[in-house]
Amino acid sequence: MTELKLYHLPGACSRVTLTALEQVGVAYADELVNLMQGQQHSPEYRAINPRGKIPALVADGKLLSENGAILWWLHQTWPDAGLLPKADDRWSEAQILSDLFWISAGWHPAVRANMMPIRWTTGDPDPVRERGKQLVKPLFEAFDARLAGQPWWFGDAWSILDVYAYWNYTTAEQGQYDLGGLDHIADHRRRVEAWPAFQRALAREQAALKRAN
Amino acid sequence: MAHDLKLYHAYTACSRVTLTALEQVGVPYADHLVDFRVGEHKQPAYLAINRQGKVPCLLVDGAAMTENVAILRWLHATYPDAGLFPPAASAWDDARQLAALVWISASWHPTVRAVKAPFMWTTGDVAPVKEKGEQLFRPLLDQLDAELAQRRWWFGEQWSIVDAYFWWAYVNSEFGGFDLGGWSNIARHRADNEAHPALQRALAREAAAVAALKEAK
Repeated sequence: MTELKLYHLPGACSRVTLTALEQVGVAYADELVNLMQGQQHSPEYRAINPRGKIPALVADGKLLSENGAILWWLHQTWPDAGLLPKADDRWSEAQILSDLFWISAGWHPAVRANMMPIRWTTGDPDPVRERGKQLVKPLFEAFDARLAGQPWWFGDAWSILDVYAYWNYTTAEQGQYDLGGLDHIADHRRRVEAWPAFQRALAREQAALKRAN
Repeated sequence: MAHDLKLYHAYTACSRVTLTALEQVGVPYADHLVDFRVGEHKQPAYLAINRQGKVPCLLVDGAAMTENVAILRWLHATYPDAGLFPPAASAWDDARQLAALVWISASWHPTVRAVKAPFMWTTGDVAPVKEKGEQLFRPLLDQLDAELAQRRWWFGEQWSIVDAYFWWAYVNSEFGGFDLGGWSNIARHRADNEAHPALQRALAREAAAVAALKEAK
């Protein structure tokens, strides 16, 4: 059995990784890394993940960083957990990866411009947030249209990309992005929030916060 | 089975990496240079091929694949002997390879964009975005340089497409006026990449597409 430990921060995109672990259903430890206090730069954390980022998964003492890679490994290792659809061939597998990378490399940096515009500027954050809104608008509108005909990202079955997309649009909302008018996303949001593994991930975040305080 | 391949790419874009991968594989392929300067990527003809209006986009027997990493992984799975990636002995090794690709596509690429094309991240003054981009970029270069102090290529003694991807990212910062002096292992890695035949052929292919476009005008 693999010994797993996830380093995370409540509300960060590690929420998606926590949900994946809950969906898989294996035992794992977790530890909060307080980015607000700069804990990611501490020598203790740099010894675990030299890049100073979260999420970071340590499996039997070995580090795997980058959310997309962690999700992919969890899916490969526990293929029956339903984190991603089963691929029939190389082409469909690459299409699944394409969606995963679209979110991690396309959506996430744009959402950051909404939620944390100071991450992209040394000056006035407002024009960066404004640009962030322009960038995420077509992404969210396209997702809303996709949800008109299906409940989840890939169709009839939940996948971890639903939680990843959810994390992006709710994080943009915290960055003042108005999700009004995106009715299918509103429905999707309710479905994700009712998903048991997601609820357990939120509870796990709360427990980590309690331990840290 | 031979596939009918066509790559949509753009001048100096990260599609350079995809071109390099195709050259490394060595199969015939068609290519089309999407002219971003005239907004070809936003025109209906291109949006019908790739509704995201981005490059690279690879048509395989008429079906579109987007996202550079997904294309690279498909090429590797389809042509495993080309050496795009080292053999992965386990799901863990495979995920470690993927982690390098996530790091470049989700951290390096958006940061280089802030250095090279800061207007992509703001509706206002570009100078503070570029400055922030440079602040974010330096630690990435430090981390890569430290890794490359230990081995010739990202994965060890063998070139992989990950090396071309890093090369593309740091060279692109120069288009934004960034000075790469001071990272000596990266300078060595750069020279090694620029001597790699598949990368040279990719740049020649890109240059030919640019010349053909000029000719057509």
